[in-house]
Amino acid sequence: MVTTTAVLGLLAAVLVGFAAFGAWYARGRIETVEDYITARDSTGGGTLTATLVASSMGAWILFSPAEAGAAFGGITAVAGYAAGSALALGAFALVGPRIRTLLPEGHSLTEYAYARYGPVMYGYVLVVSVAYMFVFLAAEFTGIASALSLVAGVPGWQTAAVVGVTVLAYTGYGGLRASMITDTVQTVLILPLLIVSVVATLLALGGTDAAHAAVVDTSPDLLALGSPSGLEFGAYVVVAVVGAEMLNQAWWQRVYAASDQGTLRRSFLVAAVAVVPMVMLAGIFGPVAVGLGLVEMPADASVAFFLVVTEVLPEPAVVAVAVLAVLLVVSSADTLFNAIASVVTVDLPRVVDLSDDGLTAAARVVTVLVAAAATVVGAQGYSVLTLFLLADLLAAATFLPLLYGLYSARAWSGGVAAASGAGLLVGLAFFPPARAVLPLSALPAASYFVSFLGAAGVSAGLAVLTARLWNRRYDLDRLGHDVRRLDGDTLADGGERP
Amino acid sequence: MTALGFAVLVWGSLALVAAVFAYELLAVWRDRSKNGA
Repeated sequence: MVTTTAVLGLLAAVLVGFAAFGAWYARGRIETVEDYITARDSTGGGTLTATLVASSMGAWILFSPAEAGAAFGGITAVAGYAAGSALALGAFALVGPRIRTLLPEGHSLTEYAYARYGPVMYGYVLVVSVAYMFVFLAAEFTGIASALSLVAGVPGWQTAAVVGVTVLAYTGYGGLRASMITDTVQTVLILPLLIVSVVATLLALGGTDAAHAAVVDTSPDLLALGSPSGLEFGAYVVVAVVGAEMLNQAWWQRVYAASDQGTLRRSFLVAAVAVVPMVMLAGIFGPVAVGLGLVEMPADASVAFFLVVTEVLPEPAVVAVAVLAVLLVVSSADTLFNAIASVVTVDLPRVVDLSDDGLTAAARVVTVLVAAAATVVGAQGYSVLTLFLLADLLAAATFLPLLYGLYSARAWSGGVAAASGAGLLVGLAFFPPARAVLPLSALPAASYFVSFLGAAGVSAGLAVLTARLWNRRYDLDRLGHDVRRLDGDTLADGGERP
Repeated sequence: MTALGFAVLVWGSLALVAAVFAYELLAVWRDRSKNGA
């Protein structure tokens, strides 16, 4: 096994380098809270695409797709993960320009929810969004802690502490701008490291033919395209991932950070294309791990990627994979730190009268709190899978009614709240973990497929139905007047704040 | 999936990641040139 000290030292050196670079870049660029949480109209296509790829590709790609490939339906299930990740980013290529057009001075999905639907839907969306982002963050910290423990015996608390403190150092200081510029460098490192890791592992295995033969010998069903279990898994993962990502504040921030709408569309589409092969490459290690006999118990499936790597690669190459995993975590963690901080900061002026400097300071305090919480939770090694699925289910029941309001003047607060509530009830009724605590044995068997598709379908159907039945009218142009900048600047077209 | 299909999936994915990497380098370089001009 690689020595703990060597890996921890390398990890610290890489992360301190990023902290210094992020802080250096942000120096003099954070003049207002808008710079800290929005970086409005500032980001060109290269940086935007890079930050989208880096932010969406957390360390989860080294865990979840391989686990799906090993335990939940083989290569078809992996394709479901890839499709979900791509569709989520692709959806923002369509929805993003609409968001910018209707709310040109906006910052977050929660302020849209408040302006469009009022306090009830706002509160609901706030809880769902923050819950999802925090569970995502906690899962990233937990994942990297378990990965480095596996490959080098690094205690979980040490990994979590080093990652948490260094990411906080540059994100707390430089906010979104520091996050995006470090994401750019991280992407430029992550992509070749992924290529090298995969190629080296495949060569060590004897090539793709040998890897294929190993899977065919033991579990040929894992390579069956269109297997029923894989299709079912893929379908609900698509809904779960797309729903959750539509409520991920990180993407709403980047919608506004894009220099213009063309850049926004192009960058989200390129990122959508980019994540597909990345997820597929990581996911094939699931079936390969099964083929090599490395998955001996269900828990092994979640670390299938690392089991293969540590089995076949020499130690220096394992360290390179560890660096890849750390880069993946850091690129998502800085994004989520700032995204959660921005959601809270944007809403503060409604409850507290703070100056621009006060808001920036508040955003930094929230970033520190989020980092501390993620570090503590990540160090515990909890299984967050059920929480993740629950957060995904909440989002699946929410995202379509929420976004419907961007397009329909007839969508109204009571209708979408009832639609989301009904969708959630249907989803919970078929949510496997809920069956253990809810007396619903008279219903058909629980399944994630029915749960997620039911939640999304019922919520969408009822949102449309209530809009048509009540036939209320909302002037969508009001959104642009109700949502304004936080720093007191005027509109580009000369309008002034009320 | 046949061995050939598996190979195409793996090497095709690798090629696509490499293409994205090249695109990224060019796009970032173009952003920097534009900002510096």
